Amino acid sequence: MKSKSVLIMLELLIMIFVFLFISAVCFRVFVASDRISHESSVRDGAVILAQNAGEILKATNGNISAVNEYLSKNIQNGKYGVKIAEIDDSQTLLGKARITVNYENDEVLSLTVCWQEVQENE
Amino acid sequence: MNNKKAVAVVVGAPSLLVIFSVLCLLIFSIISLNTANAGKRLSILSAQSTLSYYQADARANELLAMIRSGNIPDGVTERDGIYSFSCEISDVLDLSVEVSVSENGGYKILKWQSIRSNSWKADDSIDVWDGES
Repeated sequence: MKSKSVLIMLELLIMIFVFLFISAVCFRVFVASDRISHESSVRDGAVILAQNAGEILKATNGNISAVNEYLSKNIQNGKYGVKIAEIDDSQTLLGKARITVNYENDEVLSLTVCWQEVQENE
Repeated sequence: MNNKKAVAVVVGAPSLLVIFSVLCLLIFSIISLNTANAGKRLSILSAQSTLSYYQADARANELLAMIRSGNIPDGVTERDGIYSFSCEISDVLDLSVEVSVSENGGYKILKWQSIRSNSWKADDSIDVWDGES
């Protein structure tokens, strides 16, 4: 009877250690999955923000205040930041800007948008 | 009289329970990692295609601005006052543009469209039923 109890205790101990070890490995995998998902979600959000800002710039012929107005209404969690820098490359009738999207001060995405400047006599 | 009740403890039951739990944990963790990686690949592809589109769009705008200024760049064809050109988005996509430009620099976009750069070819490698017996 005593030897049977020892056997059960030994088995329990070994299984607890096995369970703990594999649980730790699985926990790391779950954490890695969560981190990857979060990165993807941040990237997707940045793409949508940059795309929307770019389309507003193009539609308003480079009106940055219109973009800022849109962003102030649509960036709700405050972790994203969008910088719009107008580029002057001296090409006539063309406006150009670089849109940079940051997440918690890390740059996620950057794209260049061009639009047609309107002439006064058009 | 001996009233002691014997507690039936089966040797191996904890092992079975742990093996089952560990298998479940392993399967769920692998599935979750796979899903996350698939999402990451999709997200990167989506970001790359958006960036490629905006690069082509910027190039098309540059060409349009040059046409409006009176300089016709290489690769632009003109017929009946309509200028046509295309900018590469990716290996399989082009941004096809058609614009009419007036003398004062005004312009009207007739076409600004992503199109396939190579012609679509049906996969006829499998002999499927064509609806006729």
